[in-house]
Amino acid sequence: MRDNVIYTLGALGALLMAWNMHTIFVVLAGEAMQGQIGKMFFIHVPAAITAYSFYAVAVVCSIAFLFTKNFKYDSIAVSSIEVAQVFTLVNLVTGSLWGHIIWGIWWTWDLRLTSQFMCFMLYLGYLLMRPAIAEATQRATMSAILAIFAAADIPLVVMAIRLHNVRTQHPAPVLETGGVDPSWWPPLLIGYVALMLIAAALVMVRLRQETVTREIDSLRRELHAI
Amino acid sequence: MDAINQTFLFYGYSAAWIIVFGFILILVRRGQRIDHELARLKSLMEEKEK
Repeated sequence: MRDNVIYTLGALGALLMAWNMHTIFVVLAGEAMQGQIGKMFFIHVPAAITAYSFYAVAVVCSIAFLFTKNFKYDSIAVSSIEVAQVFTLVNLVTGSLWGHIIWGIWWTWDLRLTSQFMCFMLYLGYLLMRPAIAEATQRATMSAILAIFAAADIPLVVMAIRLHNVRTQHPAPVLETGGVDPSWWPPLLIGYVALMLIAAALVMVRLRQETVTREIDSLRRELHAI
Repeated sequence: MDAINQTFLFYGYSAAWIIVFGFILILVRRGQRIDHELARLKSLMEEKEK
């Protein structure tokens, strides 16, 4: 049953993405000022929003773990963060490729880019820290605290281009200011839905692995006890 | 200029898919490893119980 859900979500996400890529590459005209490279928007932005959605899931589950000490929440948090990291990396790489054409540079240390890179590094630290703590409760507690602490960076990423007294290389916000052409909204939203479906399937696979890993740990303890 | 734009757009989408498929590959390998470890521990457990 669970396998069917995973395959359905993954296949639906991949099909939507394929159909959306056909629209982006074949149907839609290039952006007025940027040309074809402006279409990087359709993968760059949904990847970031997908990543933030799963970081949010991880934060909620981390808080739930601290209150309940139920390891199910720790498993969901680590699975969500690992998948969110993948989409943060997609966001960083596609942004860098876009920047190379539009700005003539691969990277700049402005507030938006730096805070997004920090977000990636903080959660990378989370994933690297976990195997270093052997005791399960201590590992889950430390991980939950770090997941909540690292999430403090996300409002900074979002606000970096909205603060009046900060000048950034990154373009000004377009989603809520009417800067997006009406014909660009459907592929943008479909792109987000497709990535969310793919990410949900990946989180479910990762979650099952986390459950099996816990079973392995308990079997090892039993074996030592015999 | 538009040819370079198109090329870099292609690179961007390719990179996105490579990253996602790379992660899927990591998940598959990790899954195989832990399934193998689980089977090994279960058979060890059965042996010890005998």
